[in-house]
Amino acid sequence: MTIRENSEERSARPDMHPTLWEISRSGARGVRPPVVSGSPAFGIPDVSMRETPPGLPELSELEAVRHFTNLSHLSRGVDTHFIPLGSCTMKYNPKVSDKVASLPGFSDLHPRTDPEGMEGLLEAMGTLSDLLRSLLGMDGVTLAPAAGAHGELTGILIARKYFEARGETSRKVILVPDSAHGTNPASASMGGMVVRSIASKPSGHIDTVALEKVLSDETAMVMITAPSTLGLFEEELSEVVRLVHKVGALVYMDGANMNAFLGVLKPGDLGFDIVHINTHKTLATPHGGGGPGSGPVGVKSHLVPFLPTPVIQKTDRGYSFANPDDPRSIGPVRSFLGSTGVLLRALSYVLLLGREGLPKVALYALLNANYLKKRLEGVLPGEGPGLCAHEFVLSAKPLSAYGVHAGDLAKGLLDAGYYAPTIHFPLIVPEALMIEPTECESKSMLDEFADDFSRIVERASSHPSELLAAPARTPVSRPDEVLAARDPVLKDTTVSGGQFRKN
Amino acid sequence: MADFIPHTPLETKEMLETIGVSSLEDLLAPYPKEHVLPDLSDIPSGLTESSLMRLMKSMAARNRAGGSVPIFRGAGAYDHFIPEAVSPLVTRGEFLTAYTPYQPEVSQGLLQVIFEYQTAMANLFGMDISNASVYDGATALAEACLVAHRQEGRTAILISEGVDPDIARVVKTYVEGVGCTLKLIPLVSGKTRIEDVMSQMDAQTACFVGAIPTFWGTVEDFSGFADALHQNGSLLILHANPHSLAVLRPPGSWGADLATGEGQPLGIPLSGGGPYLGILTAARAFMRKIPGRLVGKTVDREGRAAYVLTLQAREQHIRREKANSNICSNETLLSIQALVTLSLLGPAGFREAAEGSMKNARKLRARLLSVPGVSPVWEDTPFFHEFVLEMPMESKKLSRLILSEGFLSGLPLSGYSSPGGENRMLWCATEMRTEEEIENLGRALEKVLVRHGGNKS
Ligand SMILES: Cc1ncc(COP(=O)(O)O)c(C=O)c1O
Repeated sequence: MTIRENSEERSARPDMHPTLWEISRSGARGVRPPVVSGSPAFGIPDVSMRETPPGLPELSELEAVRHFTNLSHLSRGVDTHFIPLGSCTMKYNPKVSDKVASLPGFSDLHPRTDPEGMEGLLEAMGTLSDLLRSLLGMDGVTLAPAAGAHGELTGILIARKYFEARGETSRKVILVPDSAHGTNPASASMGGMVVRSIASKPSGHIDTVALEKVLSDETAMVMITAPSTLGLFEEELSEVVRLVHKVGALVYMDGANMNAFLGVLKPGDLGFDIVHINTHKTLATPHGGGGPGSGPVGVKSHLVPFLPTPVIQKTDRGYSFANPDDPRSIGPVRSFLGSTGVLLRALSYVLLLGREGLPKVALYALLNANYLKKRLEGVLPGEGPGLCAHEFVLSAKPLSAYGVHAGDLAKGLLDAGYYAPTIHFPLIVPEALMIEPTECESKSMLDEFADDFSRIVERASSHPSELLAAPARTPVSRPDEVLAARDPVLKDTTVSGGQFRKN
Repeated sequence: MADFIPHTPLETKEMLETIGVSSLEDLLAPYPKEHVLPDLSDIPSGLTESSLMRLMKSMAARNRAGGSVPIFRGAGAYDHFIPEAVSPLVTRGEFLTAYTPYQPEVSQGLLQVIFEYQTAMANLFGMDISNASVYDGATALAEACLVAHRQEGRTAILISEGVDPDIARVVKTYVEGVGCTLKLIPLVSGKTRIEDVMSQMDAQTACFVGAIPTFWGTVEDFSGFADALHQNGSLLILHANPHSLAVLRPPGSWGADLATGEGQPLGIPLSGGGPYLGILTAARAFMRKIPGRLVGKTVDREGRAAYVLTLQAREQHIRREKANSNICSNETLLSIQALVTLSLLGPAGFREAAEGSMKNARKLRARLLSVPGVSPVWEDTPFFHEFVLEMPMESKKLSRLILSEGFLSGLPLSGYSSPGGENRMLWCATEMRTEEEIENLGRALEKVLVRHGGNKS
């Protein structure tokens, strides 16, 4: 892919699409719902009835279809572009998994169907729990959490209940390395715990000496991302686990990066007490432009009683719901069994790959990351010559001299026809660019990306203004984020729908 | 059998050479040797696409789902009409396989659609603003209660018994961690009485939560609630079924500060429980206090309209432990699904669907009440499209018997406290039910009761 150096491109950018309300035509009709006969006298007093119709757009079916189809063209997905977003594992989402989730029998199943009417779903979810238990090396699994962060909150609440049950209520401190994702500390405070940050060594690894100093009988849990957000496997992980367990605290694994371990390493074997994974990363369920996700949590046997409800259990007559009233459980963390439409896709993926395919995921994810890291060696400084795991982090710091930042490189990559890497994260690397190619990209794609990336970095020093003006080939140039936040416009006011009587 | 790995053996070899290792396994060097490449013998061998489909179809066939059994159950998840155009649009790869729109220049489509979703929800709920979604209705309500708690650190959450008891349990899970407690306000004849709210209110009251309609189907009059709560420095939170808001008075009009809902009825398949859509809307005063992504409209460098994620200083990636919430991934694709559905139906179709639900629910109620032994729990309490009836048999047993006749009955309410009860069921009919299905259900119920002798009344 080449950067077209054509300044006319910009003026050729069409105006943005009108909104649904801007194309709405009073009286236009789209799809008709089923016709139901009968009297419209519903016996509801006027005071509780809506006075004015909600401000919804009025369109023909074709107008609506065109609107959304044309808007879709202004976005990039794995289906259309290479998305090297570090820590997001943007791998291919198999179409067959989508098909499975949409099968009649699953897609039209009411979540409150009597258990004898949902045997198939219980078997699917039970099977997935078993498979995850094995892949994670844990003793119990909940499929309830709706995303990674939701899994973290679940883990925090489990730890809390566990210590309450042991009478150790003064354990309120959650230790989080400074390289951790923001959801880790946020989940800990949401669960009512006190967060302390632990500084990493310059190498990015956990400083065990510093860790030992802060561990105490007030420590509830240490949250460790493995491999870390720098794409590194903690060199002293077993020592970290030993120290934490020695003071009676738990070790949590943020498994957002589980793609690096899939089938080749089990978190349970490493000594973790709790782990969450993101099915929308490791198990190839589509991220939908921001969600849905799903964040199953695995725990060791001492924590199994605290898992959220509902719990699926295996009996000699198949899978069923366990007694929902175990007082030790943290209770439900969301409605119903879980995001089953997502989990069916995760199950499909694990079944397709099987024991032969799953380890290849990790091996090739490591291959692609290490290959790309090598190809970019010397282009920008990174963590050094050693092997990385599934991702690696570069620093755009040297380009600051030319007034160019990580974000500007990202914009250059958009022009070159890619999505951008994760930028400014982890926070401990200045001007960070975090790159995760996943196992699904081909060598030729990686070569092309490496060439384009190198050239963009080169031009950052030779023609910095060009990069500062990028992107030039996208539907819009850089939006004014300061303006957006100053006096936020959070809805279209073309048609007002918010005018009602006030009581 | 599949692995979605594109490498040819030659490419793999070249790549290993470039890295300077001799085998793929060498890449595992940083991992502890004693644990790498564990035994996977309890994981089955990989399947081909066709054998996977065969297996999953056989599992799907063991569910009694909407395609084979007419659904007369709601209780938080509803069988509504979903236009055929919805699925092809939301499964377009540019939406389905995108990540969160961190890079706005190549995410304008996604961002505009979220902005339009925020507009539709604000309009539907009669509120100033909506966020881009949270996980589901229950977590939306829990997050709203946490916003109320953070206002001044008040710890009491008054919650009407009209709120789905299962949702209230999720709220409890969420708020207990930060030291809040739930106090239930009873329902009297299907209604929350303002005097009961006021008598429970004190200096620790963060908010009161009511439901539109209630879990039990009834429609309340919240006149005066907002004023009473505001005088006490407490917030009014209303949890609404968005389908009902086509016809019922929306939260904003009752003076709600925050309003939440489960978006599943807006074109999202039942899917056995998820993924669903947490709707979270608010008065503008709470713009910087609510959790979750927000998309705002701005201009690009040439003054062209453009959309971006905004007010991010509320969020975990900036504020970490001080963030408004831990939420990162939300339910964007489902929010698109809701927006596409509403756009295809338009205000007229949306209203017709809601009225269709109400008409069918009334027909269903009349038919069930014609069955000997079935009696109403409330006579004149207004309802939307669900209602509680006293059945002449233990409700879980009755539900199983009706299921074996090929219908998903009302929700058995044994195990639920009043207005639930041993023999009670919460029935629902949406616009999807036909007169024939209602009549056939009535006959099936009669048959079951005759054969299994319900306790006569
Ligand atoms: C390391 C890490 N932890 C946690 C999360 C949060 O996951 P989710 O977005 O599913 O809530 C992410 C997602 O970006 C992550 O990269």
